[in-house]
Amino acid sequence: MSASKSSKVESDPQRVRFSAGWVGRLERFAVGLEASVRRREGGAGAARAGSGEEWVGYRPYRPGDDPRRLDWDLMARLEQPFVRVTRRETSERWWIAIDTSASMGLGRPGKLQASAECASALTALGLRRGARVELVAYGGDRSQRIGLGRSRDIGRGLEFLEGLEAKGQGSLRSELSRGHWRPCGRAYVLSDLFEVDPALLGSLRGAGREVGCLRVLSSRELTPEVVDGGVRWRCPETHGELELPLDRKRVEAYDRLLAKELERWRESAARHGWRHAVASTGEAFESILGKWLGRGAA
Amino acid sequence: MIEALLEGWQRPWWLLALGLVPLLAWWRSSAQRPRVRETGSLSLWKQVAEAERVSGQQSRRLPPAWVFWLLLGLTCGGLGLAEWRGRKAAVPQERWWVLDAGAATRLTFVGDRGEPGAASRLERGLLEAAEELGLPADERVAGWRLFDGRKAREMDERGLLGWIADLEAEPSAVQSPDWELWDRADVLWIACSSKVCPRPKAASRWIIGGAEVPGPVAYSSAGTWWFTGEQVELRASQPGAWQMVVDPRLPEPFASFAVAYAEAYGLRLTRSEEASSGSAADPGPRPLVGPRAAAGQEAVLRWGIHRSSAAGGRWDFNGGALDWQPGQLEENVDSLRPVPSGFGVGWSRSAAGEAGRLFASGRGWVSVAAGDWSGSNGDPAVLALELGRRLDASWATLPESAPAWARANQGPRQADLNPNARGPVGAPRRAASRVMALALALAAGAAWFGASRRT
Repeated sequence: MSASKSSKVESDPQRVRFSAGWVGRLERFAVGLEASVRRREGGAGAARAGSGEEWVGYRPYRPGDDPRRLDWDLMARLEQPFVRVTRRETSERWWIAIDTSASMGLGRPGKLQASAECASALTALGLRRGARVELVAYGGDRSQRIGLGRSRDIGRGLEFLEGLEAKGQGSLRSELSRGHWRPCGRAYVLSDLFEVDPALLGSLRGAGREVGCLRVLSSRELTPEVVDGGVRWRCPETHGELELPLDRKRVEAYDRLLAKELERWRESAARHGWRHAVASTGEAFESILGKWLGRGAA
Repeated sequence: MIEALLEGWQRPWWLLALGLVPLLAWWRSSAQRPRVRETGSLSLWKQVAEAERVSGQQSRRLPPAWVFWLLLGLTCGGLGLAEWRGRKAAVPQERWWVLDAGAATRLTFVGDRGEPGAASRLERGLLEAAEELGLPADERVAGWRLFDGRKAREMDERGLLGWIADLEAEPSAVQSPDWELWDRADVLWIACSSKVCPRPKAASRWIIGGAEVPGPVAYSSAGTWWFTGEQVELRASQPGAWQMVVDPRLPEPFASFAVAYAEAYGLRLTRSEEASSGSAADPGPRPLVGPRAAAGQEAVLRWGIHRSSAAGGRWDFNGGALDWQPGQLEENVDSLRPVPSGFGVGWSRSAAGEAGRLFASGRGWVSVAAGDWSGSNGDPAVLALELGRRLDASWATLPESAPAWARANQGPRQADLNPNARGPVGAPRRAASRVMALALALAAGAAWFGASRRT
């Protein structure tokens, strides 16, 4: 499910632009991902769901799932727990939050562009499965949102994403406090997640909700290089500055701190059962989501 | 005040090159200014800085070491080129070079192995002496003077090279300088051989030396006297190797005689009015004299005509043998006109009561009075004999010829230098050379290190 990076459109890093044929690319990704999941989780045969609802397939058991939905026969065969998936479940709501604060306008291509591409792919995936998708952009003066319910709404979703701009300060905490994510069966956050406590995402868990956060970083943030003469770092959100000679020793110290930060998030995600991945803006969304959702997605 | 600061430097304007050092340092500082970059991970960088502060490490923004070495190298280079000589040397000190500019100095310098160089002994000797004493060859040094036995020379902006060019354009000196008069501590004697330049008591001495230089010693109607390196031998001249230029208006019997003379000695006979002074209509009252007339590279003899002071131009003379001898003729003339010096030996004879200069000659030229000589009587054979002797004695000294003693081996190079010969100017040049070498090494090493430095 790899895709060529040449399809990424080089543009203003603070804006979002989708290349021509983007919808087709999303469709191909969704089809490919589903096929991959089916191959991994076994064929879907008709069976009584047990709740009067139409059964459509299986997925691996996740902590918090209703134990009554466990398929014991499959577990006996495979020695791994799987739950039955019903049509009602696939008619769930997805909540996809994308950070549009000023720091997302960094990198080439920008973090906002990479996040929007992943968000568009998630939206296409959800709509294809019959879910209602709510796209939320938080950052700047106020958050923006759009609700999409049908497959053909993907165009409106892309328009919404192309209208985003990375500016101002964003607060995931205030967005979460609005509670719009509560009725959703899946909640995804796409951000650089700086200045965010991983415990905050713990509040999204519960009621069988699948939670995932994708951390998008620029190449300079992931792997800074030694620079002769030093660098004056500036945060585009807080406008704070720090002048620091950028020699090998300091770069290595930064690498250690970043690794520690990412490890903290991985541990928290593993402990609370939510998905976590780190991606660079240079990666194609197919590669990012393929790794992020490829395991256990349905 | 600026002049006082600059007077101690040999080439103070090179100090301007030191201005490059702060410029480069400023440029480097500009390049070192931190680049502004935006990042979302400022908090992590702050933690890095905080960790350094806690651990006591200093965040320095000094340039890398190779920059300092490069700037130091450039500074040394500027100071070396400016060449400090000290305040004492700023006051021009007189130094005299006394040169034997004889014929030996004009010959090509030949090394001990017989390899000829491109320079003359004069040029080579002066330049080697200057190099030994640490003196520049191509720039003026205040207080430095040259005496070649004939005149003293000041140094102009061409420096020593100017002296060499002027000396080589002039005839060689006939005799050596009076060395005893120049036996002082501030004087350097220069000669080709120690045979012509005795060991001084107070002065310094530079003997140029040089191996023997085979070549022509003299030319004559009998042939070329040639120095082989060991002895002088007479070699037959090649027919037509030289020429005799005669004025086409040369009257008879002289014109016929010129033809016969040229044929007898294998000279190329060329007819040209350049043999005479004046114009085609009037050959001029004065015979063609002077070094220029004899300086023709190929003409061993120029035979021209001149307008004598006598009117009419008809000459009667008695062609008796004794009448044709210089001096003897003058005793026989009725009236004599004094022969001015520089015009060579000439005859004066009165004709019809008038006096005129009938014949004159010098080194490389002869001249007869224009007019009608047909009425002359006398023995033609005697006339021919005397004319021949006069012409034989008038052959030019061609530049290639040099006396045998000049062509002989001048001996080894010798340097008898007293401390005053070097002077304070010599020492800083060596120190400046060392400083320059250090500067180049520093700059090259720093530049290579900086270029190969991995960032």
